[in-house]
Amino acid sequence: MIWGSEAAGVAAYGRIENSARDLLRYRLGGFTLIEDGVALADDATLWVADAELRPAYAWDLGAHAWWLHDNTGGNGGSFGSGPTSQLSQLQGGPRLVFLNSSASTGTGTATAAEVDADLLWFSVDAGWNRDLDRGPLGLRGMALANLGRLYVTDQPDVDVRGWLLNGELRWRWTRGRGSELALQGLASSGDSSGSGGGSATDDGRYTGIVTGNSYGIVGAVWATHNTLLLFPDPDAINRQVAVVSDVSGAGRGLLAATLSLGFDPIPNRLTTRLTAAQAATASGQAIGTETGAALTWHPLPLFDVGLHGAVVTGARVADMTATSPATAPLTTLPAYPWAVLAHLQWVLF
Amino acid sequence: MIAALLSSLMACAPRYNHLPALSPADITAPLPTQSMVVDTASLAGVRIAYIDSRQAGIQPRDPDATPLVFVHGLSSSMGFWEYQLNHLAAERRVLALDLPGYGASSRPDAPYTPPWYSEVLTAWLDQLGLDRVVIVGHSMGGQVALTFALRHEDRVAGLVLAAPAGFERFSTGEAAWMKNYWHEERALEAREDELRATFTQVVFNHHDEGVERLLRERVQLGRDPSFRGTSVAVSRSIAGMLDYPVIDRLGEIRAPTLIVFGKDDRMIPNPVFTGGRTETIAKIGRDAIDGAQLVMLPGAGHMVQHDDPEGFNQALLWFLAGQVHTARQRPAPTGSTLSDTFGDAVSAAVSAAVRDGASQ
Repeated sequence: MIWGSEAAGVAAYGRIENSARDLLRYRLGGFTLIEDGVALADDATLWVADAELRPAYAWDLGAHAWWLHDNTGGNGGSFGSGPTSQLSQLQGGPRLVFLNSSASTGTGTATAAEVDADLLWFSVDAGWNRDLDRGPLGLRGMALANLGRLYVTDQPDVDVRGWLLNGELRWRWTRGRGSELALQGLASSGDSSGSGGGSATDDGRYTGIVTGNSYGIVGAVWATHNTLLLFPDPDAINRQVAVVSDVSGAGRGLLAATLSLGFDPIPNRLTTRLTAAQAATASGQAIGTETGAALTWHPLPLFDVGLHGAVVTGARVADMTATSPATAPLTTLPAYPWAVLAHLQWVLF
Repeated sequence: MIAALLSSLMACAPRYNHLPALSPADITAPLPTQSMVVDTASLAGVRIAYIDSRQAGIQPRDPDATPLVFVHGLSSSMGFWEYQLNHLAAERRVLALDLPGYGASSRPDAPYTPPWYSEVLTAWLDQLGLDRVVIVGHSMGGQVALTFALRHEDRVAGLVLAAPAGFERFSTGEAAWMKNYWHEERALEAREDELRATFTQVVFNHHDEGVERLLRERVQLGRDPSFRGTSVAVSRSIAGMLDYPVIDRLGEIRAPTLIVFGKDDRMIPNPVFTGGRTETIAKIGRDAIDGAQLVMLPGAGHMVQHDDPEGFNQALLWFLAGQVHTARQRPAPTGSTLSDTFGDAVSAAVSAAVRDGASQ
């Protein structure tokens, strides 16, 4: 488990198999994501239970339940922790703002309130031939519910009620691993209740989702979109340049679709790919559109050299420095953000 | 595409892992199986299962024609020639054997290399009293046939290489990787889902009842204690093909040669180490073997003789009629390919057959 934090823990893995396949794989684990004072109960811990069932040839079903218990008060680590943290701001997560009243502090200045949290993620997923090794067509989908509660010092609790859906269709249309048409869609809920000038949590509820990005660097990356700029490229070490870095859409929710068409002119050696992607907030405000192309050479097993290019049009992102970033107006980026990326990937083991 | 997707989703793959173990002696064979124990200095006691259309009482149209000998590939058996043996037995005497380590033959502690299999072929043919034959080899059987032809030039009236191994060059590191992966327990570890994926997505391009039967037999054989010997044979056969390459000796082949590949072969070239198109590899072999003819069959994969039996059998009969009977009397066009002429004709015939089948 990679959370980009000081996470440490223990997990048990197991499986039940027969002579046809692994029928069930599971993981049970507990991790301390943030350990502040060693003797203090001011940590963030994560408990996970994952199960993957393979009921029949080419089918797999998954169920996951994760519970994050955050006692850090939002003060864990160097950048803070949780949905009020600078981590959320840096990672494109939902940065929520809770201020103590100036009267309560006695200083005449509003300061950030401490926020603890219990967050639950329940998800189910299903796939049919998801790795395209059982035929040319593959499908997969996932549904997630993000529930929980934020405990704000001297203020009413805030309930978290978010959801996310993701689906993908893949078709290997001719010879070669890269000769693939992939269509993917993602939708996550947002919260626009404070868009009139208040905060998203003024109504005592937050209906967007909170991701692991609020508790560690790039803990929740959407990795299969094939874009460079609109969403973070999972192959790039620096992922901070994406227009949308977190599937919460910085609290606004996300509607995204990506389409990529690949072709191997030399099967399994040279791959070309064209990609188009579009993203909008859950309420339909356009965030940006990317078009891109890639050329990848696979001269050796597990060794790739590639050249990628992409341009984004109409990009607008959240102003994370606003008083209430999750509801502040979207800010327009330079007219045509573009990127050219050369990559070399060599998997050694 | 949507229809294909829905059809695939609704299809329920049969399960065989609940079936009892299958003894190699009970494997389905296209003709009644014979058995002999070869008795040479180096091969004493090796039992070979084989079929012989003459011993089966089949009267061919041309009983004096040079016999056809079919040699299967890696992890296969005589049954993989099911669409050839009965059909061609009507034309001339045909024989096929289970290479030791596979099918109903014995599983000795042997090298299982192409040179060793060449010795096996020699001993078997000697014992049958066959001096000169046309050898049809598939995949590994193709490399065995090439090795035999290099060692016994005078005994080979013709070579038919079906998706043969031996035309690719692998580096020392790649060979080491493959040998390491295909250790002697590897085939034992393969589970039914993996076998089904390999059969339907890698080895065969056309999925029919024959493929399903071969898959069922493979799953059941895997439960029989004798399969440990097959697993060893698979491992050593792969190492043997890598350790005894023929690619640099293809120019020494003197027998009239027909090479048949499926255009959509997913095993050749090796998708991990070589990549590229099958035709590229096929032409390497055609250009290296003097006078070799090449037929590329559209739509067929690695098991070309099964994926396109009509096209394969037509090509084989054409070759036998035009090449072997006149062995070397009519010079073959150097470096020619039949894919522009004969291959297209075969393709057209197959397309028509597919069309007819689809309309029924």
